[in-house]
Amino acid sequence: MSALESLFVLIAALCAVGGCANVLYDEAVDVSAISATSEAKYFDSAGEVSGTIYFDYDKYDLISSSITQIRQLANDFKTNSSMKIRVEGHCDERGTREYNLALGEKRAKAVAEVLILNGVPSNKITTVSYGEEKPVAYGSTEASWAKNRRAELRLL
Amino acid sequence: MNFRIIFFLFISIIFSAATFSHLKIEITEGSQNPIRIAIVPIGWNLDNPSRGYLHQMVSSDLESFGEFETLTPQDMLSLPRNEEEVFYRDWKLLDVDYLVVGTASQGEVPEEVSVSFSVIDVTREKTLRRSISSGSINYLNSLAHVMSDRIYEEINGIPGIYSTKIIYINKEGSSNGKYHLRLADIDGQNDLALFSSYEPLMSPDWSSDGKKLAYVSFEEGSSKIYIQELYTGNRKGLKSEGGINSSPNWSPDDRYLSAVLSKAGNPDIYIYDIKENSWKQLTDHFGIDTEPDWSPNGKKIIFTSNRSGSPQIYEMTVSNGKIRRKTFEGSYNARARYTPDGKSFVFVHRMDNLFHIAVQNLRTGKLRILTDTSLDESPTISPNGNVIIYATKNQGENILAGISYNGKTKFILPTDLGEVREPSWSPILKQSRSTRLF
Amino acid sequence: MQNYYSGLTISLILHLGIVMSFANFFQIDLLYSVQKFDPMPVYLIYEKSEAVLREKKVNKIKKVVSKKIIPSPKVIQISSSKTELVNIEIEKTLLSKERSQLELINVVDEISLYSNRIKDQVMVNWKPPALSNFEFKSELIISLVPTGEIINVKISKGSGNKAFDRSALAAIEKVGRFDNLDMRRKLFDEHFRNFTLVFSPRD
Repeated sequence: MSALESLFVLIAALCAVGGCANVLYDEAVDVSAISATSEAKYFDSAGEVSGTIYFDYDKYDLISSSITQIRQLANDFKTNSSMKIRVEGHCDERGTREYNLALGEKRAKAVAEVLILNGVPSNKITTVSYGEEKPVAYGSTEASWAKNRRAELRLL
Repeated sequence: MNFRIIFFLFISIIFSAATFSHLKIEITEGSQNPIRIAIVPIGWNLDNPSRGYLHQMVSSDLESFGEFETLTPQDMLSLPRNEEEVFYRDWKLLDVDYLVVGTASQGEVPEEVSVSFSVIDVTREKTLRRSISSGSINYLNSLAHVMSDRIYEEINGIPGIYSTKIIYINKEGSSNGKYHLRLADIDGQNDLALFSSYEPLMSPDWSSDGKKLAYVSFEEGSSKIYIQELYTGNRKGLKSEGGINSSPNWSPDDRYLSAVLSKAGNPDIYIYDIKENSWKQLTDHFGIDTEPDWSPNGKKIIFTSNRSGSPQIYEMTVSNGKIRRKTFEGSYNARARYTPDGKSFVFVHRMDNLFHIAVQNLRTGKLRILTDTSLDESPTISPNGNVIIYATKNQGENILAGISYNGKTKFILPTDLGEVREPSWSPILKQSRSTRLF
Repeated sequence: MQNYYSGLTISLILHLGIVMSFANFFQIDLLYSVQKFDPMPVYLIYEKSEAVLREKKVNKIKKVVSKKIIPSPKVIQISSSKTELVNIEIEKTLLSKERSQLELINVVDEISLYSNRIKDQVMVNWKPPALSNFEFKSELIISLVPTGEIINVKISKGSGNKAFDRSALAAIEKVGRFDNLDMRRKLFDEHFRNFTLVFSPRD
């Protein structure tokens, strides 16, 4: 008597003894081999940080000292016009990640606007937001948070 | 004489006006104790030394989310192997509500184990269901999960989630640590990395058929959306646009992704047609519109917008573009996710500068804060609507935590992988082939 | 003239009574919705009403007596006994009216008391399935015998979810027999021999 037949005998026995209530037959499907791709592309964020602008919580407006700072950077750039500027916006860890991605972009764009107003051609500027994904300070203190609410300018 | 008549009439009026209605008593809550279920060690007709292992796995499954309380074999007064051997008094004495008895034997092929088991209602002395579940002896935990799902379904009337999985983002602890998109069974087993990168990964979302994932990767220098097939590992990057490309979310029929693009100047909600490889703009507002989620019936999209000055939840009807604001309490409400029945949504709600996970009923507008942890984000809800997993910070560590929908059971998902965040719960996966006999 | 007046008064009172009962003036239906509150000890109410009863009694009788006396002073002497009889009759009917009203107030409290006992015993034994959808509602008709034993259970309105309905049935099965339902036979027959239990978890 094969295994299958014995299985059916088992079912029949069950029914005979307990009455033919619904019997559900499940076959667990083995977890198929899920292949893991380990593509680790590396984006070389070349260019050091030439300047960092800081922001208040939940805000992307610039205080006057920041504007002065950006103006200075714009002037520095004009003497080096073969290069490009990359403005990266960041946020602190509070709030949701996607909303922070958008907020980071607002910060980067605010800085870019001032650069353009001060003579930097817009086609030389790229803005990127990293939201809260790339903090410089860890920890959940006001001090750490303040350090992360920033826009970084890199010359490429 | 007349006054006697008058008073008599008065009395009869009182008696007739008193309508004695059929008494109705309302029971609004039950025992605070979880359901007590005894999984009797499965009778084992095989040579394999894993005898008795199954009942432990099923018991541990059922206890996962606080809904059940199980007995150890030492507590049991008898160990019936089938329905005939059940002596109800032994179980009623122990205040057991449900009983599972069964035996395992060899299946069709040598590696196959077949377990026939019965789910019994002890109080009513009635067998509720007989099932035969089979699987490979090398994957006994999968078989146990299938059994747990069947038992759960029979007792609760809704699908069990023991065979489901989650995907999440993990960042290694070191400063230049890699980012991984990871997959794990809901009990934490079989954890593996599906994609790794030196640049950030965000917002993973599971497709409705459980076969594909969408997520955001910064591997090319800025946020881009990718679709990856779970079983083949094939990846495809969506046609990238300038600015933000993020927050992908599958439609219930998996034909579209809702997402956020800022190419038009500021972040707006767009729909991506997968077949046509084309984008369609849904919202057009100078503020931030982000974090879309499709309703279970595919007719609406809920999203976050700061158009009123601060982040709040809005709901849009896809067919006509009508938008209605949903949250009015508090100054920060974001990242809404519909519950599987489409009647409520879980979201991040800030109160007193603390970020909690809350749930709000779409019809009544009633808001209920679920968590007492703070810095909470990214809630994901189980496909049966009973459990929520979310990311939070505990003693400086970024971890995943869970809470039952009724708020009564709380747990933490431990990890030694570094930072973990942004969980996404799978749909009910077809882990078993079911045939109904008789 | 006499006939006209009496006819008018009768119809006036009839209408008044009907209108008041419809306007829930007697507030009987409202008191039937059982809230979980501690029922006021019965004896207190009884006493209070008695005090009220006595006062009222005195006022009304005075009026009646004066009316009867004035037209024929001579008759008073002879018919004093008659008046007395009438007074006693009025007293009796007044008393029974008050008592029945009083009885009603008593009855409502008693119903609450025993309903709460039933509710407690069911709640302790009810293990609802963990369901995120809080809108389930099952209605069961319970039949008891005076000892409190449950002799019949029937689902009169299902919730649509079998597991939820089953949990309600299991709760009743577990109770088996209600304790502390020692009430007057009349109250039992009218309200507790057959009643409905509504299982509906609150959000």
